[in-house]
Amino acid sequence: MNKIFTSMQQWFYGIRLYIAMATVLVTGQVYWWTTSVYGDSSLAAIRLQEIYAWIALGLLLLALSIAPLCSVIKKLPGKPLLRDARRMLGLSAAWFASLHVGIAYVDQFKAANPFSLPVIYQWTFFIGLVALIILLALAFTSFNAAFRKLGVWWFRLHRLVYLAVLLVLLHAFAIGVHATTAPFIGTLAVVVALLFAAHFYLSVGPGRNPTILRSITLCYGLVATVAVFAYGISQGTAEPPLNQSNKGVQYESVR
Amino acid sequence: MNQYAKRMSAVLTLAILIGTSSLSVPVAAHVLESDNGISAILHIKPDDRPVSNKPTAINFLFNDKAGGFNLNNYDVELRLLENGTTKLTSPIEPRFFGAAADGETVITFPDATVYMLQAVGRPKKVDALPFTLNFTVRVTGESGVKKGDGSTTIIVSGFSLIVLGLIATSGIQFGGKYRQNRQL
Repeated sequence: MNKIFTSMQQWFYGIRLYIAMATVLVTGQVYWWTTSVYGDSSLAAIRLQEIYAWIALGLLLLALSIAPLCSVIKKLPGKPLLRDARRMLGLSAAWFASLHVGIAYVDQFKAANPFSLPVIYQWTFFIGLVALIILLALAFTSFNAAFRKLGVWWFRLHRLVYLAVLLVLLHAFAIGVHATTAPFIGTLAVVVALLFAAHFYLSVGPGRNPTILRSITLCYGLVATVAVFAYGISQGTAEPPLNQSNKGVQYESVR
Repeated sequence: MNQYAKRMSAVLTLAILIGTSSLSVPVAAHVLESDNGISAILHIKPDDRPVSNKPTAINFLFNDKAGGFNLNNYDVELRLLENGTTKLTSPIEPRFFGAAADGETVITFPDATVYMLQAVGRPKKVDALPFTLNFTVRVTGESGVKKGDGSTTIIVSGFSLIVLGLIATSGIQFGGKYRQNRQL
């Protein structure tokens, strides 16, 4: 009992407890904000799941950027704290992604049969679901016991996070209302480009001897990422401005 | 402030925020509707936030049980209803040439109030069933597109996060866990 109490006491000295507390706080705060701003309109649920989705993607990219940041900048202050934070940031990303999926499916789509939805929603739901399964698999194997048990397979499994990010971006660009607007796509492009640049530097930079497998993975990953962003940009530019609509719809008042 | 007080402050902050959040009213969404085997997802461009007196594109993605809905097989009309009275009607046409299930029309909401958007489809062939899909939409005025400004929420939320940040900094500094360069 005393051992458990001592262990719990240690939690207050580490960053993970506070990230977990902030995650719970932000979850409630976003819910509170959407209901106070949008009331009981349908927009409340849409905004809620949208904000949770963006927080999940942001946390995921933040967690992914810690390892290359620590490797590229040798004298980065607070490295142990950042490494300690990474795991809980990933768990928080999985938490917000689960909330996004749950709210969107139950509240927005009324738990509809996925096959009754339009085709674009069917395949984007599928890739979103694959990404969520990957994130949950990583979350459930993020504990020390799983790390020891899985050995080298732990690293192989956790590399799937890069696939999850690509799937999430594709999912967002296909049906995300704001994802293909210039500020969002620009920010995402810069963050993902920096991540790639760091990985390229770590692979082929001075004193590095990349393996053939890593080189191939990086090249194909870059091609896939560029393709996903090209799709996102094409989605954004495909929408004609409203004032250029030439449908000639006539309104007929039948009051 | 001793460690016990810090822990209690952290727990209290958390409890207050969770408690305040739980007072919020439940949300209801009316985005996917179905009738007689036909379903549609409503999207109001650009961000599902219609404003009165501005031309607004109303987009519907239709589907049927077989996954082969075709707008050309129906006469689909959008009706704008306020308190049961039809204010406007407008035909829903394919969004672009060749689109079978992606219909769109542009309307102008006259006032900032709650409307019902009704998509009414009549089949051109006798073997298909008609459908009526109802979506409730809250339209806001140009000057205020939101119900509330949410400033109280942001202030309380921001303050509580700052308090949590201060507690975290204090706890981490006191513990000295990361001064030992502990690698995980």
